[in-house]
Amino acid sequence: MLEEFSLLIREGEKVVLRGSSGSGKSSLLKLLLGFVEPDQGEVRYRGEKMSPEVAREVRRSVAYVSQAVDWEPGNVDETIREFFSIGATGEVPSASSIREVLERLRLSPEVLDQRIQDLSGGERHRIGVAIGLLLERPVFLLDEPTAALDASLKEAVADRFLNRDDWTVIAAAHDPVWFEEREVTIIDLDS
Amino acid sequence: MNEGAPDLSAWSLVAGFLLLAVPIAFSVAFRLGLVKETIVAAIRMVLQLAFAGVYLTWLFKWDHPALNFGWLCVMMTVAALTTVQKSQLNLRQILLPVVVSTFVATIGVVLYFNCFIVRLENLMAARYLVVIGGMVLGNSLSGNIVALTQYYESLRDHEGRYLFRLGNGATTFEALRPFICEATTRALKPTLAGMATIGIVSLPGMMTGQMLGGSSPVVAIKYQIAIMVAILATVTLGVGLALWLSSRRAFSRYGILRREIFTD
Repeated sequence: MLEEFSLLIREGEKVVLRGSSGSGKSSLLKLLLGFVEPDQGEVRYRGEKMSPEVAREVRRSVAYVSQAVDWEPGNVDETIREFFSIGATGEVPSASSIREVLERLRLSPEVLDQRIQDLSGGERHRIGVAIGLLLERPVFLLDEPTAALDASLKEAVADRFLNRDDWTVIAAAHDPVWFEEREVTIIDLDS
Repeated sequence: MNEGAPDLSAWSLVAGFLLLAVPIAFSVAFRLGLVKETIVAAIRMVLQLAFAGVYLTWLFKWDHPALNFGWLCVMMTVAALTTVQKSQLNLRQILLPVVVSTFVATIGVVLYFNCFIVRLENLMAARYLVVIGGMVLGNSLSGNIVALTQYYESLRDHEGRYLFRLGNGATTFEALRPFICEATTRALKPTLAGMATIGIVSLPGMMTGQMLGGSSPVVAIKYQIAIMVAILATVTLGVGLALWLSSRRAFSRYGILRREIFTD
């Protein structure tokens, strides 16, 4: 899918992978996470060639927001908290920080008491974004992070991710809100 | 209560077979298309039980430990093969883990049963090793099929759910945990339901068989209690081991599910 492709991403850089459907945006993120192995070439993280050990290190140091999270049925609050009980994800965030992040994403705190399967597609997607933000990792891998969001919310989510100088962001996005009038490195996979 | 059950004459068996008319008539009346399957199943049952009658007669007659254990190994291998085939998994990839889990769970629990519950001097006595082994093995087989099918189908259908956890730092086990829990729960539910209703809804085969064979109901019930717990232990141990050991082969070094483990 990707041929003669080379990309170096430095800490703090904001990279937007742009391209039509099937151009390899999501595949590139999967390569970075070790979900797929390249047929040729190599992936390096902090100078180390990708291996199962390096892949584990990558996964522990990134927050990955996938395109459409296939949630396990359950209560939203428990889903978020349960996510933080898995290893290397850090301490469970306080109730106030969960509410603050939800509000930034225009989700009412009442959503915490609802079943995740009862939420709309957009609301479910924002729960995934919220978990990504709550993880507070230095690197974000975002796969279509503003899919299923309305225009004003897209802007707010993109601002949130792109305005922190210390965050490295690699976003697969075809939405112009991620690259128009923004200081980002655009990688056009169609070309 | 020492009288065994009276022998069944050929006419008695014919009378028994006449009851097959009920499912056949039902299938014909409602066009279920199960007539052939019913007849084939009945013929297979007769042939397999006739074969069991022959081998059990000889096993009980010779009662040699190595022979008894060897026969149990044959039964466990067939059970493992059936498990992998019914779960629609690749035989080459998944057979060994299922064989190991079936052997460890069945042999472990049966030897415990013979040693600490029945307190046999000869742990390999055919009457216990093969018979009790067959009982726990049958339940273990069903449990393993349910668990492996549910586990791998669910992983294939909800891979995104697994990758989301994995991609955010979970270990493979942590990311698999919900799938393991769901598969194990489904596998154990029939046994637990059986335990919860036994004696009221159903009188199980072992107990009725013992009573027909002349044992007192009290003795039969004690055996039934012990065997139900042994079955639950075997299913739990077998399923746990089958999921753990098969996962070691079903995932790449990067923790990604290999598609080649599926046959479809």
